[in-house]
Amino acid sequence: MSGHPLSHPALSRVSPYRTADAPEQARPATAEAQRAQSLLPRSVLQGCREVLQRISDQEPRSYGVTSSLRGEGRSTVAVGMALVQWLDYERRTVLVDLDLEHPTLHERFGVSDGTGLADLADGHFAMEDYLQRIAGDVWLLSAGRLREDAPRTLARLAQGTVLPQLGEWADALVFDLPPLLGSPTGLEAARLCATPVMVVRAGLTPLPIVKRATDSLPVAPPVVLNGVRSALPAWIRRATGDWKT
Amino acid sequence: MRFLETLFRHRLLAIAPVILGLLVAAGYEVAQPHSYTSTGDLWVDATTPGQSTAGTNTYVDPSTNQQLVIQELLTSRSFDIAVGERGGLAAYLGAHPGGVATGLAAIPGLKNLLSSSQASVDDQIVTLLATEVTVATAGPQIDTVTATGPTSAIAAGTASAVMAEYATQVAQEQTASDQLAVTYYSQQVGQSLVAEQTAEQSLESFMAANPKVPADGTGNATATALIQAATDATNAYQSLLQQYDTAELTLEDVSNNVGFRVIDAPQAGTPVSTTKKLLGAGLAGLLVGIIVSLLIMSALTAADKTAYRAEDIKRALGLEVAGSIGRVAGGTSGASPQGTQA
Repeated sequence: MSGHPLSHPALSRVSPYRTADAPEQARPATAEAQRAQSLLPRSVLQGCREVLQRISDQEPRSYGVTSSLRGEGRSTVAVGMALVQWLDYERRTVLVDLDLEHPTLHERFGVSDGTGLADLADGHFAMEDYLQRIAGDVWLLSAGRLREDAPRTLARLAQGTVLPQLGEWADALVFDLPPLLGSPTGLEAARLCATPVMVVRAGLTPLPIVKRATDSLPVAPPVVLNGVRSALPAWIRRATGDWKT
Repeated sequence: MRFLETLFRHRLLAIAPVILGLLVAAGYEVAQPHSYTSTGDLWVDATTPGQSTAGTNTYVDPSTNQQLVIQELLTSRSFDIAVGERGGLAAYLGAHPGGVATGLAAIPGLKNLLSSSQASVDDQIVTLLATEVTVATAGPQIDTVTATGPTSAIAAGTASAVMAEYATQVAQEQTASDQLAVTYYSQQVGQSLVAEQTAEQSLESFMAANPKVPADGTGNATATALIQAATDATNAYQSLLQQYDTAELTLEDVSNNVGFRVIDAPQAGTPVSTTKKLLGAGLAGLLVGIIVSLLIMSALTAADKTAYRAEDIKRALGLEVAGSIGRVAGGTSGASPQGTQA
């Protein structure tokens, strides 16, 4: 398990779940697809599809899902985007938990938090020991246990080769970032990805706070409005042409 | 649209003031005592009551002038008390302390707190008449007096008393004025009588001293002058006496010369429709409730700085919303399957 971090046979460049490359794998891929779709509510996957339809052509496919504060649905959207990358585009996707101080993705998928990105930052271990398959060709790289403070780990990751190697191996990377205002490392983590995606919780996050968060980013991010539910009766929405919400 | 969103998001808060307004208004109205109204009409002949200087605006109808005078009188304590005593309201209040409490004081829990039970009957009369008696013009010559009271008899009595007391007040004013005229003419007549007697005595004395002078004074300048003076004094006396008699007649007939008369005497009061009052109060409560509700909703809408729709983000931040995720019951967290180690 030494040498190139991605030398493990299970992590070969050709995905066994890529139906275009391996038509004989279509049946397991369909079963896997069903399993993947069952991981999140349909509305979440649909929302993530809408986002990716807008930005999936952008290269490199390195998306960082962030928000202004905690509790806005950042991790859910990150998982959804990773699943849709594989479900709709058949891209091998790695979901990276970059919220080093408050990682949650390993709990969501019931995997160990003992090893992860923080260890890889040291460059001492083979990456295949840390990638865990969620569904289909979607892999999770959890945050791991911090050995030093998060800013220093992030700096090490920014300068190291782990992320470029991940980018080479996978078709798409989806980062679950810390919140921009709710974490001291939010902005530094967002700089590690090419395309930040801003999650805003409908009816919860004050817009001035969202503005402060988005202003801190170097580019205006696409926004995912999460938890939308119109209180208007259907007939009013029909009458006002606001049927979608 | 945001206002509508707020409205439907806080349905209970939006409806509560309306229901509360309805209930409070209905409860308030139900707590009010039964009341009766009685109406009477006055035919107004003169623009001004008697020779009063009140309401001398000749560009206004006689009924309007008199209406203003009656309303003015109703603001005076002595007039109100006289009406109360004449119409039976004073006796009723004496027998039923606090029995005509209205407004908030009529509500059982607030009666002791707000009622004027410690106020004298006179004070209660003044307070009640200020709100329970109205005077309106029915036309250029007719004034309508309407009184509301706790019983049918009190309502009719009060309306009648207002008219009668007004007539009394006008008559008193007229009497005072006429009395002055009688006194004046009486003095004038007395002086004139003395002057006449003096002139007569002078003439008689002159005639007695000058028996050759004919009775008509022909040929004698002094006799002629004295006769003329006596005649003038007699004429003056007669004239003043006539004016004095006229003044006395006017004084005696003052009650028939007040400038108005009752054409429809107030009849026994009719009960005020409870349903109508309840509907009116309900409508008012509803209106107030709706206004309060709209104010609350407007305040909530203004205070809510969060986004509910893509348009909110676009408008406030200038950012494009690439996707929307509907709210999922129990949150948006997905299932938690076991991951597979690579």
